[in-house]
Amino acid sequence: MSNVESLISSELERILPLPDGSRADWSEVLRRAGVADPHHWPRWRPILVAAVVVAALVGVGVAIADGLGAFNGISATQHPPTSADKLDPALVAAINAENAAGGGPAGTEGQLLPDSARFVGQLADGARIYAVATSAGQLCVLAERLPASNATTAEGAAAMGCGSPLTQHQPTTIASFKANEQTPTISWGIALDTVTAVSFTSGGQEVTVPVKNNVWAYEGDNSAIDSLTVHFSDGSTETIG
Amino acid sequence: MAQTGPFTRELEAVYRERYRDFLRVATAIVGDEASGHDAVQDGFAQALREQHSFRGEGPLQAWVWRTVANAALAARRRRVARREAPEVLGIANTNGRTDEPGVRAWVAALPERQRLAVYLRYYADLDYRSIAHVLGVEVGTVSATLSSAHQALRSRLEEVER
Repeated sequence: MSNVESLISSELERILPLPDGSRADWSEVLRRAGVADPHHWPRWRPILVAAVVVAALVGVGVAIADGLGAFNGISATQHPPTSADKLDPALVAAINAENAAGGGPAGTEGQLLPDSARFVGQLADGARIYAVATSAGQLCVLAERLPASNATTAEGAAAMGCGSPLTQHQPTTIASFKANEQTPTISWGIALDTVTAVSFTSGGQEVTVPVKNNVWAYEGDNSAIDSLTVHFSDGSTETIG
Repeated sequence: MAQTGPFTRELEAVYRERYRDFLRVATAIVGDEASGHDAVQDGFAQALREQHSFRGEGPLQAWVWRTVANAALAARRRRVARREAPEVLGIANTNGRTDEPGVRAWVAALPERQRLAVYLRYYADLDYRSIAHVLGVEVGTVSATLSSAHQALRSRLEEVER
């Protein structure tokens, strides 16, 4: 480095030192991008297709899920497995491949149990929404969007968030997806049976979105969805976020 | 879904590893740290949304630097248009000192490309090839651009020393 370069370097360093990193917030980047937003799941950790399938547990997803209470309060999931509940084979294969490679979050969230998946609804953009349990009794919500033929990796097939089972104080999951600049943002969630609607401000207007079969979905501005009011069947409300 | 794009994990890794460098460059461009942070967030959000358009012509990180630099430049132009900032912003004064003449003003007076090249070279420690990807120019142009910036700054330094 020449003298002038050294001088420039030291002067630039002096007038603008390396800032601290306390502002760093990846979840906010995700939110700005209009994708699945862990910020909306305060106790949730977003994961891509996750975790390990334990061979011994395959096929007993219902019992596991029920036993661990991951789906408590979500009637749409309380049924024996049907063909509609099966995840896309390519997605399952991708999960297995990731698991075999040691991918996925595991940790306190436990291991993802694909056979516990229960289809609960479909978004306007075609994404199929599933509730999936983990071996640690966590609830994962999975949006499977791409057809099998397009799913070359687990990441290309789905987005997922996991967290503790729903409760009165965290009665719904909240996620937002925006496939690209040309498509509207879709916000959605899985809610407890006792939740009849959610409301929030969108485009400066208060909107109320009904919950049907434990799922709500809304297409449009989600910039103020950080503060979401949950309406219960007994008339009470709870604001989360 | 955008979160599940092919480079999401790499982008997150770049963000976590180099956030402070991105913040410093964006702050230098925009004029204050809060706006710099905003530009970094916007730049990475755009990179997430548009990651499928990344063709691998250069390093992913250089591509991200480009989106963040563009976000910062756009923010700076908006501020200037709204007269929220001096016409020539230059490097932010983030430490409470009164604005001081010298390198700060000299760098601020450089043409935009030279100024950006200086920030990327000294604040982001990017090599010439990466800077070329960020600026969308040939490596030789980066060399010439930085050389011109050095010459301009050297002249200023010599004036002061006289």
